[in-house]
Amino acid sequence: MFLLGTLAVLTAVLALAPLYVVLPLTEQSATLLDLSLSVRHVSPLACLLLAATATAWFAIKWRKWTGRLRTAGVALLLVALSGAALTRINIVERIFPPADGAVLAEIARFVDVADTDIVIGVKMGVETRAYPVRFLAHHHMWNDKLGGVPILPNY
Amino acid sequence: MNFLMYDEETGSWWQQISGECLFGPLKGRKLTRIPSDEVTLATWRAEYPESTAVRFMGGIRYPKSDWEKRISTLPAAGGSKSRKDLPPRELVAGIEFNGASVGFPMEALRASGPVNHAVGGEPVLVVAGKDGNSVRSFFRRLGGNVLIFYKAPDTADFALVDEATGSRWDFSGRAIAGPLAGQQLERIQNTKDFWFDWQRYHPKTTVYRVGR
Repeated sequence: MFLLGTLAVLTAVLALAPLYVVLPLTEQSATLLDLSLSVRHVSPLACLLLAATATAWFAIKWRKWTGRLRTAGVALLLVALSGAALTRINIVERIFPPADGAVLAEIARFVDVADTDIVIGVKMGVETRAYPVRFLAHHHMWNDKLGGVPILPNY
Repeated sequence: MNFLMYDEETGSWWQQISGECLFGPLKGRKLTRIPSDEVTLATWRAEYPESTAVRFMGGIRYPKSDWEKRISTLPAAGGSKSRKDLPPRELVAGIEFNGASVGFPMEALRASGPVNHAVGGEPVLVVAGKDGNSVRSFFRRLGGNVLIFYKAPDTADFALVDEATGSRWDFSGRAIAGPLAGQQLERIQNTKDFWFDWQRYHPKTTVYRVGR
């Protein structure tokens, strides 16, 4: 039971620590950010191994555990499995939806935002393009190509 | 305002404000900043009638026009280390040059008209558009001379005059009348940012104050 508990806690920590990257309105320190990104890097594989070990351990032991002990075992196994599942979901992408499907319009006919709204204006060679800040502020960035150059307008 | 960006090709993480890679295979590399403008749709359309605009079709509710006003009351990151020169969510037009940086509060730019200042020893002009939200910056050196700009007193529209020749200049930095007609000021990039964010990434920044 102690082993199962340790595995569950480890999985949870590895799955949740990367959320430090997206903590809003807090000042993240460079060291902790680095640590958190490192954890995020290894957590999908690490959590999978931990959860697999937890499952195997539970399969071996569950017959011996009875009553509340068995309930606790199931709960801990569930924690480990959810942790592993969590690392397979790109949470960041769910919080900040990437823009998909954007089309170009002639500026003369562009009425999606008000005349007084701010746009990011870019000129690359002979091509010019306006990126409304209201849209960019939601998606934060848009991978684009202007005047033959790949650019990343962001806000 | 500041965030990290992730590229799927190499799995690297990039800082928005600097374009620097903080984590991953490309750590230490830096994206090249391209010149960009922060102006109203009307201003951009008038200056670049051949421009395209990007319509985002996310099918979701985008923030409204006044979103910037509404988020101005949100708490800001920074904590006790933050400098208290300005309120955290005050918008500044920040300029970096020659290793120096200066934040020009939008409030001051709206109130005082064109600002003749220097960044890193180089004379610059920072000016808000007629709408009060567009902002552009220029080098004041033209040929061998350093120009000083004032708001044209005889019009409610946007126009600047320079002290030496009395030529008139528009918001794109072009002289439209007078002895210097046809001349173009060179742009210097400004970054509109909240004070809490600007001071975090430019710890040695000074702040422009009216009358100094």
